[in-house]
Amino acid sequence: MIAVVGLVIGVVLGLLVQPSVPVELQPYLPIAVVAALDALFGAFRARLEGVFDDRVFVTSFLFNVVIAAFIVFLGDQLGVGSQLSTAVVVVLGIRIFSNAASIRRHVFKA
Amino acid sequence: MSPDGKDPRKREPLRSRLLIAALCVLLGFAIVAQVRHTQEDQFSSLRQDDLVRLLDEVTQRNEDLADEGEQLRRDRSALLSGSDARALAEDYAILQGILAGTEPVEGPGVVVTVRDVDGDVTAQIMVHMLEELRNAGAESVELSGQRLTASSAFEDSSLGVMVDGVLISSPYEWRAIGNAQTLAVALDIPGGALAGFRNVGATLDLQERDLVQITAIRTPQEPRFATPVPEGG
Repeated sequence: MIAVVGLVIGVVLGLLVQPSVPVELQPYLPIAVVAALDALFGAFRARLEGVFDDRVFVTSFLFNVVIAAFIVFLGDQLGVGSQLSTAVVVVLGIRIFSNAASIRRHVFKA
Repeated sequence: MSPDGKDPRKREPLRSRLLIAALCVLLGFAIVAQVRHTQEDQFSSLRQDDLVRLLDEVTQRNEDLADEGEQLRRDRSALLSGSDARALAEDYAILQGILAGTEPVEGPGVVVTVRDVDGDVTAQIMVHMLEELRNAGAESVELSGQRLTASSAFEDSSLGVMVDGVLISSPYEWRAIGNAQTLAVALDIPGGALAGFRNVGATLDLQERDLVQITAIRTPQEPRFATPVPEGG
């Protein structure tokens, strides 16, 4: 529950503050958000399976975000930034879908 | 850690729960920021390469349009000044005359003489020859004293081949004005127009000339059905 509350607070805060994304962060923020979503879905699935571990969640969340941003950064340096960010989004998207499938099986038993 | 999973929340210390909440707040904030950012400016999320390409395209398009605008302005001023308009109209009339075959013309080109003793040349082969000449860029074509234009027709008859209703007979003389070398090469390709004549046993003589004269003209028929579209219609 605390995650949902935190998410809602974050969204409300974002709507109130109306932040603008710093230029240096612009290429990395969307990828980082997707990576964080992946961690969040993974955590939800783990909680439903009863194997949730707060340390694992926090480290995977941060690690995912950092790795995703780093891969994009590396891609930019190598000149394949857009292709590599597509690759990252595809991989994370697949993980999100498989996590969502597990969650669905737990919630709906189907 | 809760391997049995009764109520895992109770076993998490306050600190890590706060940390999780903080991360989620951060995520929500980042999502909103990114969404707003994406909606604000469609170009800001593009990377440098894409922007450069986009800029190139826009610049290219801009130059094309500027060129076109310049061309149109020139046409307009040429049309506005009376003498130019007249000269333009005369140029146009000459062009039309060449295309419609109402003007005698001369220029470089080829002359192909076809001797067909057996009378095996068909309208099909003639059409093939004309098409090859046109493909090779012939601007004006005459066949045995008949000027060939867009409306010319070949017919097989019992006596031989008819062009626009006039019977022609061997030796057939093709005269075509255009780039002589291009025409000669195009006609002589394997399986091409000249091969079609040779296949039926005709003998050929192809000459590239610096000056070919085409004196035959046609009287254009008044169009019965087609009329120009009214301007501004």
